[in-house]
Amino acid sequence: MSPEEFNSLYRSYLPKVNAYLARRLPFDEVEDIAGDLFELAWSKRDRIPEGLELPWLYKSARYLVSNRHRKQSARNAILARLAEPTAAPSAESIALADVELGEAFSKLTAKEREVIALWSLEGLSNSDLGKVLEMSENAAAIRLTRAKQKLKLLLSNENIA
Amino acid sequence: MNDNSELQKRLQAADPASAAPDLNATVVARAATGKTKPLFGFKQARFLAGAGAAGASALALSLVLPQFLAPAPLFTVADANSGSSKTSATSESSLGVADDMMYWPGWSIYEYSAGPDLSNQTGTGTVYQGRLIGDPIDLLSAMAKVFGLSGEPVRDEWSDDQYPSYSIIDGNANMNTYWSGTGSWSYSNWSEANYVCTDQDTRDESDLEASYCEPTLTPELIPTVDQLRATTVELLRLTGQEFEPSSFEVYRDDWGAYVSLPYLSNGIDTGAWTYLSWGMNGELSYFSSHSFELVDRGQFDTISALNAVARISDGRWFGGPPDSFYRTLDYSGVVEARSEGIASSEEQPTVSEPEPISEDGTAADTSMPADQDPSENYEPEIVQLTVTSSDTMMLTVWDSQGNYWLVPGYILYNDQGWFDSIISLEDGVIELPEPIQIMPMDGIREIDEPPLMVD
Repeated sequence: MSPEEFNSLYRSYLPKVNAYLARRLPFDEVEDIAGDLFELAWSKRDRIPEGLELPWLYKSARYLVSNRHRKQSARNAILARLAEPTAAPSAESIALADVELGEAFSKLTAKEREVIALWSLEGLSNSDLGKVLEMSENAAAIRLTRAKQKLKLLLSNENIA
Repeated sequence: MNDNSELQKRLQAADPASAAPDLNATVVARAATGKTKPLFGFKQARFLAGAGAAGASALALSLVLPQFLAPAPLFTVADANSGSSKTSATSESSLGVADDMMYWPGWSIYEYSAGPDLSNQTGTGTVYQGRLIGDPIDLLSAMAKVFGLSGEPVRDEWSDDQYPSYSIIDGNANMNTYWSGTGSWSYSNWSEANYVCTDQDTRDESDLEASYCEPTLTPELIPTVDQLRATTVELLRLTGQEFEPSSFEVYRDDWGAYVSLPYLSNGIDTGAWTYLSWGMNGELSYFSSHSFELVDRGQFDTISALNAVARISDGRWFGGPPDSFYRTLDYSGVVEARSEGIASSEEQPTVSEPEPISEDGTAADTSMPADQDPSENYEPEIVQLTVTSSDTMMLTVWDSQGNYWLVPGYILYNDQGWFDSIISLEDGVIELPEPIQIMPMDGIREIDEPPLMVD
């Protein structure tokens, strides 16, 4: 794949990659991480399955975001203990538009927030969820279903309250 | 809220990326042509420049402490620029949201004072450094044998030199390690074939969900508490872990089971934890632990709890309490205090919420008209807090090289229902990162004036 072909193909994913990163990082850090991500994609271009470029980008972005959080977790020993990466939007960023939803979102675990976001915001199918989260499609579907049930319950409880 | 499509639409309406600026398209071309990234991105420049504007209330504070460079400090604390707009980050850190607080447009300045019961007694405390044990390849190879995985460890493609990571992937099972800090490693097995399920079609209006197999609960397959404890002991022995059985915390329900315990080094609680979990089929699905030991780096003088109060607002003296401390807390109160503090303008403050006051000492009117955009509010709220009591506690700290340390500190409880965990080592024992800039968040709009710096 020539640089021109790479540019042509991967540039089409730029808006989605931008949105993915902007949901999970401060806006001023998005460009740096995107640069790292596309450099990684260029170096691995021959190993990325054709047609699966976007799930591959999401999967790798997930690790880059997770690594970035690790580096900035000087105050936070919890993140450093997590061996499994997660990259979820913050509840606060959701709450900017919908406080009640943000509050319910904040009560989900990081993994639950992540799968909910990948489903609702990135619009991933169960199959792509499995690829991004590195688990089977069925396991991803189960995680998503449970997370949705929990979020609905939290929202329902808040409505009652 | 019973409909997936409705939930999805609501989430999409709250999409935080909707306000994101476009990404420079050359980021792809630069990657392919080997051009290095700009050292200082235009968006960073715009962000820093912009943070000072949007009205005269925009403000940045540069808090400077004297630097004591001799004798040489033990280590340099990692730069925690995340959450820099908050001075009371510990509670948020415990919830895993400290990084994100900078997104919140509301801005409060917390002013701490010491209550009459705080001690002025100084002391000494031991500093421990985490030292990795062994080699990541050997570690993964050995653990793979314990958990029955085949395959060779490979360095992950997203690994970098400062935080190298390695993995073994064997079907639905995998092992990986991050070879820095505590040498955290884990085993995961997301097997799809080992539980009972029935086919379900959950395709909704959005057409985003495929059919899947709805799990049928099989609690009879999940080990009993005694069995969980026995298996945990066996696995800890096989993986060479030091442990104290009385410290096991066991949870079991119809969906699975969990065991957690402190990671010990020569009998000392390191602040790190080991976790195990079992899936609904009763099989072990997750095991995570560490590969490091604590090295005694000596005794050092510590400041009093009274003097530690002044360090809270500096923002650079935070350490992390161990999990065992968080487990003793009433989380609901802490969460409520925090979430209420950033919640809607229409609700009256609760008892647990800090009361903002104006400069003349009277209660400030924090209500906001319903039609006002909250992001337009750049007037900081002044919140007065009094530290009423303290506990001594070993705190975890990460240095600028990614190393893990355990240092003496205080938990400083305040009268508003939460706490801060502050390192108590005397000035000069460790080196602090650069002073923190505190500024209101504005990563979106373009503004002209630079932030105002105040010593």
